[in-house]
Amino acid sequence: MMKGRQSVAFTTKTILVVDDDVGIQRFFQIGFSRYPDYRLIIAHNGAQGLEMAMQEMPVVVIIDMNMPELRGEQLILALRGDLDTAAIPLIILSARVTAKDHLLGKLAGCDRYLEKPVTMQEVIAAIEEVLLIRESERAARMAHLADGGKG
Amino acid sequence: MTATPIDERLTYHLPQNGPEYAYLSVRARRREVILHGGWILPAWAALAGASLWLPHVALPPSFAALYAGALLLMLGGYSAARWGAVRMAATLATVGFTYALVQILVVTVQIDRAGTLLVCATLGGVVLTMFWYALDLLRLASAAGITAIPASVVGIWLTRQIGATQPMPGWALIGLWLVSALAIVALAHIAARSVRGLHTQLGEAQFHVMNAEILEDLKDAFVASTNHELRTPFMALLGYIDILQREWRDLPPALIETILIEAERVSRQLRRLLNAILKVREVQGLENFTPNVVPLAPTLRSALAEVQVTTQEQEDYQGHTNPQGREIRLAIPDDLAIWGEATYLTQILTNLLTNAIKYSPDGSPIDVSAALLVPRGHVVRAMVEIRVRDYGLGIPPDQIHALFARFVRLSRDIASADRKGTGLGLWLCQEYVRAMGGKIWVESSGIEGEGSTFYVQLPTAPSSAGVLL
Repeated sequence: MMKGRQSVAFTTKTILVVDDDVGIQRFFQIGFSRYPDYRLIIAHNGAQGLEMAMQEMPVVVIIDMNMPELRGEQLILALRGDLDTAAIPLIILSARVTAKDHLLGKLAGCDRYLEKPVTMQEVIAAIEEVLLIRESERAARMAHLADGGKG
Repeated sequence: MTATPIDERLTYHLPQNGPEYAYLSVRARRREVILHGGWILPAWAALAGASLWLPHVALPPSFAALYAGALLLMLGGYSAARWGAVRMAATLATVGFTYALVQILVVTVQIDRAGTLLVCATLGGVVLTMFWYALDLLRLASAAGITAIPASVVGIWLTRQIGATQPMPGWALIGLWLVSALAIVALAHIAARSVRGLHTQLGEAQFHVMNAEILEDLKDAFVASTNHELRTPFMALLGYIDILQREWRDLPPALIETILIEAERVSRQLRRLLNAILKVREVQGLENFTPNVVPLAPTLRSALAEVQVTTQEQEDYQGHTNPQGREIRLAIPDDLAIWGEATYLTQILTNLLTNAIKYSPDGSPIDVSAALLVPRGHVVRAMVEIRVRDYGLGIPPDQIHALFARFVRLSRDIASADRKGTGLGLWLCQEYVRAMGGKIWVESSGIEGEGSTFYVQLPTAPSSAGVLL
């Protein structure tokens, strides 16, 4: 699944999935094989995810919350804190479904919070949605959250 | 943002101040008393020092009776531990009288300064002994300390008011002092015993309350984490069905096959989780079984078969290898049997074997041996000891104690993506073993490669069953 960079067509968009669960990794490998517009790369933990995001500059990163090494929200904070990666749309895909978890994700700076289970279609829809978010919108939202997080 | 750990899987650690630690705290409390009550000694020393420079006076014999009365009142007050005002007054009086007593000793027995210090130190020691035994009279320590200074002023004033008359003979004073010292120690003993009894009762009540609370918390955590743990395989399953349903006409057959294999794999994962959850419920009423003769060797074989089914391995289990190229070395005497329930024993062995495989590298051997322990010394009943040894990671010695608790997983495994678990396996083992009147424990150096050995002792079949002994 992980093709070399040279073979990537000009129009393909790289999606980075960061999830430690092998079942989910395999599911995305199979699922994304049906969407030739996207090129999938997979990281097994947060630290690896950070490294791959810096190297590969994916268009969207899909992040699991519960991971060893670097937890989901830590990874988001790290990505948002780096000028190079701050503008990458981030999607959380987590089995944690309480309002608190949603808030935690939003505060860290994710653009969409998906609750497991979701289908491939829903994932693709979320990706297309976050790709439309403009940087100014995100900055405004983060500023609003930083103001008091009451929103 | 809160600091709640958010990446806990199906795990829950028993808090370190849980009910099983409730009884440990007596020692800690004793330390606390020494720590906080320790300044009583300096207070006594200060009194002693003061007495060296204050005018020496003699007191009437009735003073001794008053002194003894105040002592008894004080101790009575403390042992009842409720009469706040009495306690306060008695403390004041006792310390005052003690000061006066020291003065008398100085005059009548003609003891020198060193002697005075000695007497004061001894009295201080007696008081400290009292605190030591009456562990929970920490408040007494504070009360005595706070009142020591005003009480000594009262003592000085009393001494002057009564004035010098006929002094008591030295031997009488020393005798009086010895008797009161003994009385203090004896009363302290009695007080401490009653306080301790009360404490045990309180401790037990607290134990049950905490136990209930912890169980409730664990249940909540279990529901939450189970929900969480089920969602991940369920997502894959739902996703595969969704892909198949929408695209099966266009998919290459090879991919369909891959999807089906994957879907089956996650379904099995789901089933494993569901079974584990069900077993937790089953555990209540485990003792209700009719014991039977359960031969060990055949049970072990069926456990090995089960292990291979659950790890999706086929091949020959009758022999001594399994498909990962592992050597499972069996040393089980054919005639060995236990007195219990066959399904329990199968569960225990299955769990231990699964663990041994899970926590040791592919290709490393696993030893399963058993022996009969004949009654000797304090061992009353003949037991069968089963040992399951692996050569894997081992268990860090500091984490061994928690290993058999419910929902406990080693921190290392929580961090690991490959070693999934529910934190229930060993707890279930322990419940089964207990129900059959045996015991289970583990020995491990925690050094990687030396692995760990799990020991299970179960009652052997009675000789009348014609199996052994």
